[in-house]
Amino acid sequence: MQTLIVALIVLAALLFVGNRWRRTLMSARVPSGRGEPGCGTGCGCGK
Amino acid sequence: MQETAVGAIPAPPAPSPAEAPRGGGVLHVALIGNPNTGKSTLFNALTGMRQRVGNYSGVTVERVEGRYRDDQGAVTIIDLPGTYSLSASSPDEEIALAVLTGHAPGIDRPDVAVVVLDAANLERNLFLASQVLELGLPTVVALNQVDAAEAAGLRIDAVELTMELGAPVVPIVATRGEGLDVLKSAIRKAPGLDRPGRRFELPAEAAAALKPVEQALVDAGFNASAAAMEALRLLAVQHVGKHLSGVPGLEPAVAAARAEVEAAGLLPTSLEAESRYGWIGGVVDSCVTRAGHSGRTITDRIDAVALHRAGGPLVFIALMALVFQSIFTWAEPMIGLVEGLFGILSSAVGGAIPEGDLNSLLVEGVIAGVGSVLVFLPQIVILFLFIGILEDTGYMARAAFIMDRFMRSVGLHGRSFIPLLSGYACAVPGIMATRTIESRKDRLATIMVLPLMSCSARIPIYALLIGTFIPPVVVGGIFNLQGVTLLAMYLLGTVTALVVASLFKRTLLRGQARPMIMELPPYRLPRVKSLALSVGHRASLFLKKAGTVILSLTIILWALATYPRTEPAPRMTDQQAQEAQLANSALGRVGHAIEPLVRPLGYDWKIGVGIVSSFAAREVFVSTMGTIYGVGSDADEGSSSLRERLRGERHGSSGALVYTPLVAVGLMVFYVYAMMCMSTIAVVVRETGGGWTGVRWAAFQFGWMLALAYGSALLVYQGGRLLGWG
Repeated sequence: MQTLIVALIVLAALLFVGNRWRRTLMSARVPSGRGEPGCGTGCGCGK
Repeated sequence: MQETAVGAIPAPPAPSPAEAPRGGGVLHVALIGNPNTGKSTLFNALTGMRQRVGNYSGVTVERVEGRYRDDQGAVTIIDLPGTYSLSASSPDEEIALAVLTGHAPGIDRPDVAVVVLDAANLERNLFLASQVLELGLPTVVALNQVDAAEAAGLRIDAVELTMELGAPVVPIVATRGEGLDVLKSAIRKAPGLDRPGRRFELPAEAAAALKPVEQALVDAGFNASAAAMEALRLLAVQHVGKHLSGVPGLEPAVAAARAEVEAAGLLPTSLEAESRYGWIGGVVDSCVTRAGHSGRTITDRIDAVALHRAGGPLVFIALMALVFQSIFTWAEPMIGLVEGLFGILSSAVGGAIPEGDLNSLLVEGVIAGVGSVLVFLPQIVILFLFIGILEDTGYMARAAFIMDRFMRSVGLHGRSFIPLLSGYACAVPGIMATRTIESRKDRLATIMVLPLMSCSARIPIYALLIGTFIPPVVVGGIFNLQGVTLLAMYLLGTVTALVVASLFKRTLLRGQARPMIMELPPYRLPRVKSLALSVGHRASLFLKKAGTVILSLTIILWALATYPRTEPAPRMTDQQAQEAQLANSALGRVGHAIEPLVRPLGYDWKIGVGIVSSFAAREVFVSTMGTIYGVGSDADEGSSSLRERLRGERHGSSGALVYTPLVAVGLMVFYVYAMMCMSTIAVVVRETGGGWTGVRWAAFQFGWMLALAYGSALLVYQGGRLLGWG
């Protein structure tokens, strides 16, 4: 029983850390200037 | 002043129904002002939002929003970055201008602009105000710190100022909440008033030269007043700004206007400043009365010492030494108390849960690992208490002034200081704060060295190693060697950051050093509430990290240090069985595989594993050590602290002590230099351009910092041994 509980706790920790890393790395995909004032891409949005 | 004069722009009329506040009765307000005008304090006072209030310029970089309700409904406030003008020459100025002109994606144009002026520095503050007044937005002027102005002998006629500006002026004292009801009422009424506009005239030739630029902007959807303001500022700036990049024919029109202005014998680069300051001089003359006294204030007397060319840096170093010394002398009893509490918790949990994996996970993994990090909470609290006091009293701005001289000597922009200072708390907001730096090369140079500033995540590592291996002996008659060692680690990071920045500025990121304009606020007593909020915020961040990321990683490391299980050989003692189990676990095998890499630094495989696991976050080194020594200990050692276990750790082969003061110092130097933080790497990728460009910069930074860390730790250990120190 203890081993089963421990396995679930370790799995939850793995999922938490994996999700945190995914979010951290995903946030790095967009440069800081984009999505903020003046998109600067010449897309025609006029901003 | 007659609005029909040559070069003057007609004030826009009262709003049409289409321009009335947007639906739902919610009024959208933008708060703008120079740095250090108390804008963030006013924002907090209006919204009750607990935003950090600092005492040095440039505290507001991120977009911050809040709301309050008055008797007519909800009001949302966006707190724009502190800025001296709307020249859009830095990212934060550009954001402010884009929001106010309605060109910021995802943010509606505000219904009302509130310009916060520092009453004691009215002349300089009115430059920004005069630009905002021309944007055609309903505008309210909050004249803040009128009490400080009166104390300095300045009396400002708010009614006269209202007449001069063409917008309601409300005297307030944001720190005490005075005048806020009147301000809220003025904000609510502002959309119904006539719009303010330009209050001065341009020379006729300049006004004529700017007409085509204004027309191009009007054709692109700007109102006439905002177009005139933009056209005038464009004469002096190098880049038009991202929010104008889509306006057709703008750059040729600006170039032609510049040529015409020059042909008329005027200077395009200074026309705006001369025109605005000429008008501002008249406004100040008519609204401000100065009392006769001009004696030296307390601030002047303190600054005579604190900013002295030779004495200032000495005061700065002495204050820092005092702070770091206190961290050890004051925190030690509290650390002992927290260690004792975790010892009791460990015994209680160990006794309550039957022997088995769950018992081991909780006692040897979670409590030993997370607990070993949490014991350093008192030191983090004390450090941030001191930093808060230095900020609140106004000394931190002086520290910036003193450091500016060194910054410029290495070629860094003066504005780099505040991001670097933020780096002492955490590199992530520090790197984001580099957005205030106009030049991309200066910004990159600052980002490249910022993780060298010792962040709070390094405190548990420094505190563990210094508290365990550096004796608390007195040096120089008054200083404690532990405090001096900690100060040395901070100085090592700071000095290296300046040296490396200098190298970058002379090679890869060559560019001119620029001066910094910075206000020195008057000294004042620290506010208990502000200090409590600041320290509480830092402590809660630390606890949250310990309870989430560090807890999860500790659980994973415990599993790696526990499985696969190894049956103890016959006649093995408990201690030998535990060591064999740890050595054969997944973590032990990984550790032994990387041991050859760390052996030249004097480390064993356990330290190697600690370093590898701390690539996620530096504090994980301490929790990893806690878990490894928790799992690898026998029952008798169960209640001893990590520090006691580290002191007794010996190499299996030679029986020599693993941790000597030399190894400890080498390890600290490694952590001063190594960029061991996933969040920092991610934010560097984003802030250096994102995508592959950002990845390349982050990889370059990670690589040179790791090489520096390894090389320096090697030099410390091998050099120290050659000198017979270890």
